Amino acid sequence: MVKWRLRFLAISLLLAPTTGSMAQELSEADFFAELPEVLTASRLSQPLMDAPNSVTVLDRKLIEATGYRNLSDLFRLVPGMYVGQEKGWFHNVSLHLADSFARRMQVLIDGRSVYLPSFGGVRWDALPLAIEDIERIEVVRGSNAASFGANSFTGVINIITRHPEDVAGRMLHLSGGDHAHQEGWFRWAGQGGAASHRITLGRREDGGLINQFDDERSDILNYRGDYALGGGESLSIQLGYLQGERGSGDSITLSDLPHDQHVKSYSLQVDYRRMLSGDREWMLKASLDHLLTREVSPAAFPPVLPAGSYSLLDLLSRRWHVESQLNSEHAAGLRSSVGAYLRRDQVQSDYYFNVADTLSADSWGVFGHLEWRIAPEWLANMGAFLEGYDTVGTRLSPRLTLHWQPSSRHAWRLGMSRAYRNPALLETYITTIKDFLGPNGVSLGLPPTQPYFVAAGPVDPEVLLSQELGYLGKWPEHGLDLDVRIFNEKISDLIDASCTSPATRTCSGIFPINPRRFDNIGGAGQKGIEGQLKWQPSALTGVIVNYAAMDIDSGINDKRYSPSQQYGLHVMHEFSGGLDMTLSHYWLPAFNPIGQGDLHGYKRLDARLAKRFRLDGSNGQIALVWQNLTDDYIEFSDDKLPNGTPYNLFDSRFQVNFQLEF
Amino acid sequence: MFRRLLFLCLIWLALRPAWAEGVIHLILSDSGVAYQEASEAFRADIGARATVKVWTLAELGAEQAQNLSRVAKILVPVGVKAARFVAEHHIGQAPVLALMIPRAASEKLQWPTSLGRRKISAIYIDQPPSRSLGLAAAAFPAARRVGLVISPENAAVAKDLLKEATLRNLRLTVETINSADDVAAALRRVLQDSDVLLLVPDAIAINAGNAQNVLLTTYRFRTPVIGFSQGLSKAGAVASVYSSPKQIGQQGAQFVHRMEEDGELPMPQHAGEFSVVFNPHVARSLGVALPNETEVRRKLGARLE
Repeated sequence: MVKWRLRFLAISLLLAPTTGSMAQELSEADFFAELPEVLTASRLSQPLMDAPNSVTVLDRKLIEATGYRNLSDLFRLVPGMYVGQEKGWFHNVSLHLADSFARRMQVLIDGRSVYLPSFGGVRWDALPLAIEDIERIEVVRGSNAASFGANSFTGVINIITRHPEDVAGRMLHLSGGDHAHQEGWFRWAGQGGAASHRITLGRREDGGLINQFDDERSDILNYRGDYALGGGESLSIQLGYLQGERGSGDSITLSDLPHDQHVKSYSLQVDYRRMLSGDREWMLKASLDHLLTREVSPAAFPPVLPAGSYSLLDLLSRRWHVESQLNSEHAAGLRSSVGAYLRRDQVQSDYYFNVADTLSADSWGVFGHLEWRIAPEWLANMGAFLEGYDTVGTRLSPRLTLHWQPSSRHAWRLGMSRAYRNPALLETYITTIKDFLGPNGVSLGLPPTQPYFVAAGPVDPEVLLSQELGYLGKWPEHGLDLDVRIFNEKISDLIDASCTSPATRTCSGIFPINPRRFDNIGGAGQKGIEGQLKWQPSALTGVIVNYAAMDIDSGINDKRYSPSQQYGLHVMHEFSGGLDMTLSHYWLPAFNPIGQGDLHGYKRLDARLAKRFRLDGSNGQIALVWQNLTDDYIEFSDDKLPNGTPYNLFDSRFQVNFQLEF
Repeated sequence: MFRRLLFLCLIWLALRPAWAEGVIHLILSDSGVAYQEASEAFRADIGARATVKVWTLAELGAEQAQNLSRVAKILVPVGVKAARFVAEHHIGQAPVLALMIPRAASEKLQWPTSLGRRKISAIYIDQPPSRSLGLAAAAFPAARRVGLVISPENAAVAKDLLKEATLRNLRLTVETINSADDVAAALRRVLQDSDVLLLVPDAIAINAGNAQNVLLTTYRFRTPVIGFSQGLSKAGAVASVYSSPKQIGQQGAQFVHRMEEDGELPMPQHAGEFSVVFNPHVARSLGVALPNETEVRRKLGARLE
């Protein structure tokens, strides 16, 4: 959370594996032993009450209780968050201002941004990560550019993976179900000397949505090694690799018939940490993320495009990142976090950019954050991020929040901030021109058509000014927790692909006459309330109620970029005999994501019934998972087949998950 | 004649050995601060009613100890080492009151069979189950599942805790380990299924050598810890209940009074006085709303100061 976001990792890294100390006899000395202050202020994560934003935490237990096998489905548990599927494997996760690529949220895995420089947003299906390796997910609801930089526009998702020591041993996970869903995962984690390691291997296959050519197959490898270097130093190395195929194209678009998209993604992350004197912690991190998608897209439109014609739609997206951060406690109640980063984003695609060269955009940033406890009941968070980005220049994202905490049970927060979203490289440089090749691999030499998309020239970053009032309340004797956020957001310079024909503002056809162009199309005002009530009447039962309502004042064709209301209800109960049950119900009305037509609203009921068991000292469980037990509904896109059948129908589906930790 | 008698009396007083009858011998395991605190509190409470001679273990030979066990009014070893030393060399009939000793260690002491049971007592340094689980319930009212990792030496403690947990409608998950190498795995198993982790003093499961690992692991699991010492709460346990050397020393003096009145020592028991300490920083970070300290002390049955 905020700039103390990395502390969970800090803790895990510093875990010195020295459990093999010799046993001694118990004595009174154990009661008076001088212990080092282990959980020092600079190591502690910022409490939710002190955080400058509303944060929803999805912990391991909740993640497991859903039975969801798609990472993106987990975000249905966050108030105000929209999760859609444009294809079986293409997920849209947005917090306000939904669009096809969900570009307005920053997504981090152990502090490493997985935001795509090309399209923006995240290819959830291409993350080399197993759900079993996630410890918890923290979702910051609201702008947080002052802490995480541009693109932390409407929210931040921070995924924290499990420390190898916490999963020591072996794990086998097998899933199978409707729509040819099959998964198999194996994990080994263990310890050797001052290091601990975790290796996970897996394969995932899925048939996708009913009427789409969108099946998926992925092979995944993930490694995390944590090394205690002694003297308060530690190192963590993470590697991820994924390769696979995704069904793409469709039988209607004759220039893009069904085919496989070959995906190859890898990531490397190195984190070094050092505890300094005076309760300070210094961190240095470096990472590389690489995603290459290769597509041979068949076309058939005789006589112009003879059978066997095709075009190449390859796209490379790469990000290098180096960052340093210093967390300090200056005096009781005064903590700071300062740092800087350097980043290089690279993309290459003949098709999307109409050039053979690799396009680069460099950026830099410096940030500072101060948490000041003015009085026992009053706290202030001040922060700002100054960033320079090749394509749009230098911008400052500041934030100020004031917290009133009359007791440890109630906390009020008043905050204001400004955030930017820098246009993704695709929004800046796109010029899609298809070069159709004949069956013999030679260009058909068709006269250049109008590109489907063109770059409009310089596009300004989107700007979001936010004012918010937050409340957190706890009634531990009743097992109740309440989190409410009231916000007023003013967004300007929204970027959308609009039609270059002002008369019709529509673009259609296989070879559109009027290409779409990314441009700053206007703004919108959003006022609303969102919240979560957690009720734990007993240790065996948990209830979560999410609700969000928003009033949008948009000058752009009266579009509603976010659902006007949204609700979710989750009930979890542990019966005796190791039997667990979860029911989740979601509802949202129709709305219009940016760049999309009308989306249908839906109701959806998911359920999971699991039986935990012990087998020769190993922990196992079998879970039956149902998704959408109610009527079929239309996901994300409203496109239809020629016979009028909706393209993106999400039907009821069932699967069985088996897991054994041994 | 009278002057000669007075002179003889003075000579007798001057030469009267320290271990003579009527003297309370306080034997400290070590000269550390905790032992000094206990000793001072004990002596202050005894006041002028009896002579208290304070030894550290290093000053006392085996033969002296044997002599003391014959002539002392009462032997008061402070700490495990002193108690064991006294037990090993006890050949007389002097009553023994062991102070500041873990219950498990106290129960392992071998006393001569000739020494009557009511001549041996102890004030434990550890806390009764009702107090540690009472603190868990008071500080975390929503918690129902309490985790515990122990080695076999604490089997009796675990049994008492299980009884107390049942009374309080808490589910206590106990993992028993035989080796320090098993701590991490046992902790992982317990934390997966616990709302709060209870630490009890255990030479294998939790000690100065592994406290850091244990606390960091619990923090990663976001599970609050109930500790048993001030040091643990300073290090990262959200709440601890403990009896200070001063409190134990004072109670030791009260035991001696009771012996003087009743002719025998009260049964071995936990210290009646205790303190509760919180780590508000860790509590805040874990999102724990701490209860009022006075309220918690009242719930645990503390006498109001």
